[in-house]
Amino acid sequence: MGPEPEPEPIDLSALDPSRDRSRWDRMIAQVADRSVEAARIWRTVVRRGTVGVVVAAAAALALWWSAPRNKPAPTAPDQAMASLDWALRDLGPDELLGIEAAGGRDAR
Amino acid sequence: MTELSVAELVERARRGDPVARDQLVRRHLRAAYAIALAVLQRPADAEDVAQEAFIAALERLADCREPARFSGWLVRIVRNRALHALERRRFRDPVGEARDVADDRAPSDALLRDQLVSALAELGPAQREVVLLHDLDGWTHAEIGEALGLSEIHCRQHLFTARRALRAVLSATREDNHGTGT
Repeated sequence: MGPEPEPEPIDLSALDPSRDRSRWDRMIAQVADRSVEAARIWRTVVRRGTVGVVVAAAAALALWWSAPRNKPAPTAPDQAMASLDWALRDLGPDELLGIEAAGGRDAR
Repeated sequence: MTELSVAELVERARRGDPVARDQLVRRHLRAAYAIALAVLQRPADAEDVAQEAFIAALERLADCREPARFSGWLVRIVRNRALHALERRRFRDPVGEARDVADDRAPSDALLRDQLVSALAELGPAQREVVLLHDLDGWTHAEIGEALGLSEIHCRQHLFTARRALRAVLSATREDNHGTGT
């Protein structure tokens, strides 16, 4: 006994959207057109994004080049330097504060 | 344009050839609809998802690594989209009350379509995909096997089981309808 024969195909044409030819053609055209449109939008976004990135990079480079070089390190206030001198060189407080022994303006 | 292979069409469409795009859609949109219908089991939803998935596929055509296997690649995109759509539908309409949108077909056609949809619901997902690709879009077992990742023997088994089950369900439905006079 041979293998069981394959059942006859089922008529599924009632489910076939291409039976309505004009509607089907419209559907195909719509898919093709929308995909072209989507690709065009994507290309525009990529192109504009690339231009934006290039402009931003150029601006950043220009700022970097125009920034001042070898800027002197900020100096500490004089008072702080004097305190450091006092600490390192064993200065007297009068010398440090500039008060004369004979009586400066602020001396007591 | 002479009949080009799918790989050639994909290559041309990638380069922006609108005629190649149109040909790709013309050749594969019904298969996309068949896969979407196998998942969603509502023709109107399947049409929408097939179109959306096809547009997405054409946008991502550069990702199709093997143009000769465009069909299998497209089937995966459509199936994923359809499964997402099914999830969304279950969330919106948990009891499945919403019916398929009526179209302008004759009532007898609409009845037959409803019977087929109900009969397809009795099959497993793979059986639905195989029978729809074979009997609706005319794919061969080899093409179905390659696209769905099945052996030809499995395809034949699925088709055999699906056709027998569909025939049984459809004849039972028709006998019921004759009995009730509809």
